[in-house]
Amino acid sequence: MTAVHHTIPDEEVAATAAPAGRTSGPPALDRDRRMEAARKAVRRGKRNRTLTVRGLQVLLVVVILGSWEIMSRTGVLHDANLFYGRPSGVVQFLYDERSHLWTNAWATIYAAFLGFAIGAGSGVVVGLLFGRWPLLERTFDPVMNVLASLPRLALAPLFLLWFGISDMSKVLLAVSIVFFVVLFNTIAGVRSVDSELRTVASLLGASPRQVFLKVVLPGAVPVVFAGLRLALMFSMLGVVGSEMIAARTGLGLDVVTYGQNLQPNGVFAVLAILAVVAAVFSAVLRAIETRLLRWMPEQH
Amino acid sequence: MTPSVPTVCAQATASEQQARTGLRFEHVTHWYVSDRDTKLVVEDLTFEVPDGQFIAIVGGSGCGKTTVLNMVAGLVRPTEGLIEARVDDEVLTLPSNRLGYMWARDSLLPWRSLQRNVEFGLEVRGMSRAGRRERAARYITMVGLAGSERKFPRQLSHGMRQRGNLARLLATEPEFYLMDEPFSALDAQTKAVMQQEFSQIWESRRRTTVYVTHDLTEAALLADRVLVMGAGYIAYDLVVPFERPRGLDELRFTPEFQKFDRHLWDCLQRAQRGERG
Repeated sequence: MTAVHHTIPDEEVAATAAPAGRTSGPPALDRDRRMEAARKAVRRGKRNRTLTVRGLQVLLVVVILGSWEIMSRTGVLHDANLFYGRPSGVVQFLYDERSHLWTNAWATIYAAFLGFAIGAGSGVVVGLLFGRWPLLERTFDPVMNVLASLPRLALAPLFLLWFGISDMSKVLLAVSIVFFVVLFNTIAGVRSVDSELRTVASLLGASPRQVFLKVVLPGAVPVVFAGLRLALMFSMLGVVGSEMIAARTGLGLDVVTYGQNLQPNGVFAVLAILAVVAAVFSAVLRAIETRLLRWMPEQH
Repeated sequence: MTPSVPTVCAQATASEQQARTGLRFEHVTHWYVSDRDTKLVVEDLTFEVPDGQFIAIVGGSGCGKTTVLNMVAGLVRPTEGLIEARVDDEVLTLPSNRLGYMWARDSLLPWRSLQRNVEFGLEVRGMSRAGRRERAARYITMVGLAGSERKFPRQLSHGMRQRGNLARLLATEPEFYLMDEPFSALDAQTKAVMQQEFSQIWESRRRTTVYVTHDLTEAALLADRVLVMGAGYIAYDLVVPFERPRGLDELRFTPEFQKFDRHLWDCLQRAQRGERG
């Protein structure tokens, strides 16, 4: 109660609080005003809370970056130039090396996108085939489980051996991770579809194929999308990992080089770029998801 | 399979020239088999539902009433015996899309708008877009949901979703209605309103109906005939003595109705003690 009163000016409180013991309501005119006041109060409360949270979030980042900068400049962090870098140095580095970083960032983005597209595409297709014909899934189950439990980064030498230091090697490593993530989520998605809905559809005259296309497929979308979001991160992991092992271009190569050359600002610059790329990728995916899943109850 | 003699029922007064339908159970037994146990669900059921009759099946939980319905729907196969659903001279192969089924549970597809849900049965039959639009609109209006066509199920109340399910069943214009406690999950008022509306809709088409419910009053209000089940068998087969069209809101408070309701209650009690009529 008190929390509410804080946000409502006095005269509105007076209008909102009903006098005790009165059974018949106040005149209708007054009701409109009270409704408006109640709505405003709730909205204002919500807006204030959002602003507070945003403010605190910004403050946190400022404090972290600020103390890092100060500690680096005051020598609390020893030989910061060689080991720890500093935010201003990172910005400087991003600016100085912009054309080089740009080229390599594109190489990584391109490979990650390709790895995601191929891995996710084939994962969804195979997952759906398994869902449509369960015998297929059971047959492949042991093989898929063994492959999926391998630490896939260990496959990098094999790909490098077969395809040389090339885009193909990085993309394949990403595919080998993405595929299984999406595959298992697609299988889970197909399973998550309410069996009653399938029964209803077939009682309404749908053929097994129609049940699959019109009920199972759309029903699996939410879980498949959860897999795609994970897969996007894993695709970056695969590509950067492969580049760290061996590559001609790419941010993974840069991060290793800068590390070995004692250029912490460079390492942080690459990490900053990777973070931005990942954020943009997932924002795009979320936008598609929101569009596709309008029918879902709101979650947050 | 012996050719069955078409039954003529005095109660069937279908106005239009619709197909004559019939439903027949002959010595039907179903054993439920799972890894853990094998159970006799229904034993040696024999009954016939003539054209245009509304039959309600009542009984305690686990008496096998839903299994009976699911056997008609073709979801469960009888272990022994014969189930025959006829439309004119044609014997249907079950499951058949000429039977319409409705559940207590909410079974609209959540990613489709109400309109597209009602169209579903027509869509899978390959009806043209314009045809389905027109047909869906007609039934959505009939169940009182005009204006909500574009809403998703989550935006509808439970009562509205059940109206949507009813519209979906009606839209395919099936020869039989199979209903498994369609209004049992609704609150008391919504339920009474929907029973009245459904009763009117039913009276305007008089399709052969099998209606499973645990609510005796509902059975008495809606049906022409009530089968009271004991554990796996039909204990009583009662004719509901009220004329159609029925105004349920008046009917339910008449002494005759309350007497019949009471009688039904006694029958159920006896059935649960294992007695037979």
